[in-house]
Amino acid sequence: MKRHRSLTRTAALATTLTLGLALTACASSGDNAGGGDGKSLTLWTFKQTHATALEKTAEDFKAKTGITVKVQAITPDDAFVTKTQAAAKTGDFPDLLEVHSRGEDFTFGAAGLLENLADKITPEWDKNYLESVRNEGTVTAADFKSSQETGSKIAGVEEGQRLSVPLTIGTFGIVYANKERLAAAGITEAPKTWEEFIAALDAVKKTNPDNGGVTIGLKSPSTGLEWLMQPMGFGQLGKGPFEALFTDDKSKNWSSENGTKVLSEYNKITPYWMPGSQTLDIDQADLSFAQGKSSFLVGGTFTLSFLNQNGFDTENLMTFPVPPPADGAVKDLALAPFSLTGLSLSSTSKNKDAALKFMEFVSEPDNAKKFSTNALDLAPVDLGADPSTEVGPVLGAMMAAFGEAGPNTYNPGNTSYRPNQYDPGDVGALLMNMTPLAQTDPAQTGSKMAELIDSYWVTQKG
Amino acid sequence: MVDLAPAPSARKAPASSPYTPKPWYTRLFNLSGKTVVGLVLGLYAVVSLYPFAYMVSAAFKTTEEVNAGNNLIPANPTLDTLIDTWNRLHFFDYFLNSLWVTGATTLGVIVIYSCAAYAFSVLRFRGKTLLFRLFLVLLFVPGVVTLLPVVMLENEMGILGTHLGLILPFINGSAPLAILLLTNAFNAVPGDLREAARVDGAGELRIFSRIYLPLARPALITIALLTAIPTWNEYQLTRVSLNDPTRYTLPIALQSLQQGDTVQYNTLMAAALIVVIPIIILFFSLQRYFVNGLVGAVKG
Amino acid sequence: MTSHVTPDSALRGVGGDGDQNGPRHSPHTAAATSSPPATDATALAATPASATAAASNSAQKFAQKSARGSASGPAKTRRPRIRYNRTESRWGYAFVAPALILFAIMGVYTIGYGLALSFARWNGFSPNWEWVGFQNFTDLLFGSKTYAPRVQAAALNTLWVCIAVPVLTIAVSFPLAIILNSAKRFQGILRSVYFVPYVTTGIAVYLAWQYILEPNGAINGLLRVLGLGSLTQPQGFLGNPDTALPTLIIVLVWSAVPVAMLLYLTGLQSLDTSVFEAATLDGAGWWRTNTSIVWPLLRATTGIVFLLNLRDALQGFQIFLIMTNGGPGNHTNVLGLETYRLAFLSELSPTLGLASALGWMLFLAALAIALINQRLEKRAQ
Repeated sequence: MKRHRSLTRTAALATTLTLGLALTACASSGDNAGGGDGKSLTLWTFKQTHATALEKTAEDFKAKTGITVKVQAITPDDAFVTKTQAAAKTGDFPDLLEVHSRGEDFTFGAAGLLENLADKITPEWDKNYLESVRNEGTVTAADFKSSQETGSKIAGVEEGQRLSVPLTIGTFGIVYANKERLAAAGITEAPKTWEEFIAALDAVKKTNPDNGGVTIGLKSPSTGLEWLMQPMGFGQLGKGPFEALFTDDKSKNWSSENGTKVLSEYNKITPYWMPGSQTLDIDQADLSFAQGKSSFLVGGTFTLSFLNQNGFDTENLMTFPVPPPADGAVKDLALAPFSLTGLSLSSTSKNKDAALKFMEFVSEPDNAKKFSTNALDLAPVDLGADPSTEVGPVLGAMMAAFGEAGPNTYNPGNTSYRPNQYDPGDVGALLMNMTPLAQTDPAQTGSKMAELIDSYWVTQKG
Repeated sequence: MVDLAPAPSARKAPASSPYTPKPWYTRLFNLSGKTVVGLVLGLYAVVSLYPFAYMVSAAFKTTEEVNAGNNLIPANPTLDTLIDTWNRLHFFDYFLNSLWVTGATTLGVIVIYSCAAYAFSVLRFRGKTLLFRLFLVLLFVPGVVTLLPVVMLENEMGILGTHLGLILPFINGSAPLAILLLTNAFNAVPGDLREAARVDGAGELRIFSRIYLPLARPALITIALLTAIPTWNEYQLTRVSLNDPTRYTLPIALQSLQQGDTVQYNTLMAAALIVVIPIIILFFSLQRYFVNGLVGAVKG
Repeated sequence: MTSHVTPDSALRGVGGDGDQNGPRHSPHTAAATSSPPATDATALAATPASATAAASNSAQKFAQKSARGSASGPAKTRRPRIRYNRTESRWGYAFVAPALILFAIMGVYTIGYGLALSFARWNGFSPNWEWVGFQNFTDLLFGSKTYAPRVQAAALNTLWVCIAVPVLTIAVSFPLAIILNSAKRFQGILRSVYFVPYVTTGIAVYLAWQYILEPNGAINGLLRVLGLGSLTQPQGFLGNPDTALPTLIIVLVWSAVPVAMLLYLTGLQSLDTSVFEAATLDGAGWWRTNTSIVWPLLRATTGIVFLLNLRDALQGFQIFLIMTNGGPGNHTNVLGLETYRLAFLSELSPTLGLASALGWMLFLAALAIALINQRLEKRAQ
């Protein structure tokens, strides 16, 4: 009998240990959104450099309205995805999110996680945004059509929904060069053609054999593809033929003569990479430029803030857009600014009015300029005739590279010509096999890229 | 068979008859054998420590120096980086959180799975093999696909975002390894001991706690370490489930150091060093228990 | 002495229901169940025989000293009906209850959810799953021109990792543990030193590795100093597609050795020192003592080390994600990383189901390898 008693006791003890522990903490839960008192908001961003600037904006906002905005940066990208997935499933979405325009906003919106802002934005508020980006975040007829194809990332959106408002604008395809080293190599003017660019690389490499190279964060293979090769290719072929490279038409896509032409031109950069560029992520590549280990860096408007933070003297910068070849179809290539990131409002937020107030507050020209200066990133507002006075000379100069929409303007934000499931990382990895890895030649690379892109079309067309 | 031994170790001295005169080269061979052993041990110590040495070195460098190059010995060693990082990390705010999560997880693993392992190793009951295989198979369950359901489940249970919401899945996740290791250790305990104890009238609880647990001490220490260290460093589930900063553990605090500006390499290394030091202390303090429990118990 | 020097193979940690621990179960139990003598003999024979049969002659000699009865083949094939002692059974259930309850709470739902997901198309956000049956599996294996070629390339890389990492880890950690175990001086400090790589796992230490391996890193520097300039990697060891994977394998082994060594040390601690003494009396040399006595006796530990490394080789992704992200140009993509990418780094594509399907295929692969390994081991005996 005695044994039986102690047996029961053991079982009871063990069960209590597991279950009891579980029950004690049931009272508390991980509620994330503010209590609905209209006094406290949560904002998630995936970008460290924006977090500080947003916090400063939040301080101003609090001074004016008494509403607190808690800004939380969630990096890296996989953390942002897992965290938002979890929050979506548990109803813990923050009130506000910074999103990639036409990225998370559409995907979250398609899942019903975001508020439709279409009828929430007053005309006065809307006027704050630059006209060219005012419609970003709105689901167009074309977007809706693509959402109904198989494998779409945005299945579930409705035409006319406005899922985010622009927070920062900018563009890719900007070359940052070390002015002093270029001058030492006899280069004082920004290269206007791809050939001049290659010549400049060559000249600097001769004067600086150890640190004269060009770098880009190729550990994310999409960078080489989208920031460097595509702007050049757009200039070389012109809008129509360039976009046809991404179709499944064998006579026009990457496996065609046009494809080989672009890839051969791009391949000329191979001797000039900073050694080991293929192992660096974007931040590490930027850092290597800031530390003088390379003399050229390809990035976007957003790269400037990073260089500045890491102690690179912006006076020593020469910036220019990736230039087209001399015999290219587009002589005066310009880069279109597009909405890089936006702000979205959660549909489960208990503080929608307060959140909308903050969204409008951020867009007001004075606050936007302040944010722009703090984040060293471009706000989507009109900075007037001379942007340099508002946001500093380097950022201002960069804006000079911007062009109005038109046949000679490359807009990296327009991805409508690509298949739905297109993954630039995977296509970029194939491109890397050509340069810098030198494992495939342009023709082989082109047919590999075409093969992969075809497979996306097969999925999409069913 | 030719004796290829690079080094007969001191304890197991060569057993050839002491009366045979040894050839002159034996001494030399022994000496070089010892040297070889020493060299191997020393070399692997260097290999083990080398990346760690870089972490330490970077933690003592200024931002300028760490950006300038990657020499191992800092030119101007400074404590500023460590002090500054320490201040920004708010170590003690998060240390207790980490300690509680790690401690409770480790204790839970030891208690729950040593019991289970005892049953699997010693007791006879229907369905035992099936259950044992079930736990073993869990070793291979892909972690990536369980992250989201764990969060959803805990949300339903109301423990999402709490420390318990970390401890329970951590304990459960340690099940396969702990059961495997402890069952194996209990299997090595002589069955005679249990029989003798039973003859003396001892019950299962007594046999388990007085004979099996002490005899499996090295395995228990091992499983404690193999649970505590990954738990201390865990950030994936923690990052996803914790929202309240007052509940953060040290690895999450380390990640949020980056808030604001980009984190510098030296700061990161200093923070990593600070976070890892308690574990190193734990390891050193557990060292002395890591001795042959069997010998002590049988002979003592 | 009894059979405590013969731990079962790891996978057979428990044998048939209750029949593996012959020498251990009490006379009381045996009487209570009144099992026929033949049954008992089988049970008794199972443990010592299976663990020692593969051992070389001298190991067998030690082990069989303790084995009661000889390992006779035919009895093994007939599986006797076992009767359970009620009290002992109850104790058995009581002892496993906490583990089972916790698993029922935390494990069943999550595993079921993950399994169901592998038959669906989902991006992790939308409210509904789109059921696709086995399409995720067929797409990954051959159906999709987007995923199948990537999975195949990653599978080849994974195969190398799966072979190299467990083998190298065991090849380094076993001798290391033996030497360390016999070292008189510095044993404690060296044990700690060797354990440091495990303690420091996390992002920081892999960043340190990156710095060591980069074009201007310490390894290239060391090679230049040693006059081996031709072996340097101008693009860094992770930048050259031919050296990236072998380099990662070395880093993986470096991270795996501490645990393996610790497990071997634990195993060595549980061996009776009389084994060594007897071997010494027998005139067995250091080499033979370790290869033909200690190695077979630590077979269970080797089994555990193999299983752990197999799991990490098949499913691990962290080191790959941090150090190369599968690059350069996908040359170090492995299936574990591919699973993670499909789940959380697919630009919000609805590929969470694909990730789950791949994860479960890896689960099956690991299970198959473990079972084959167990069979081979059995046959070797």
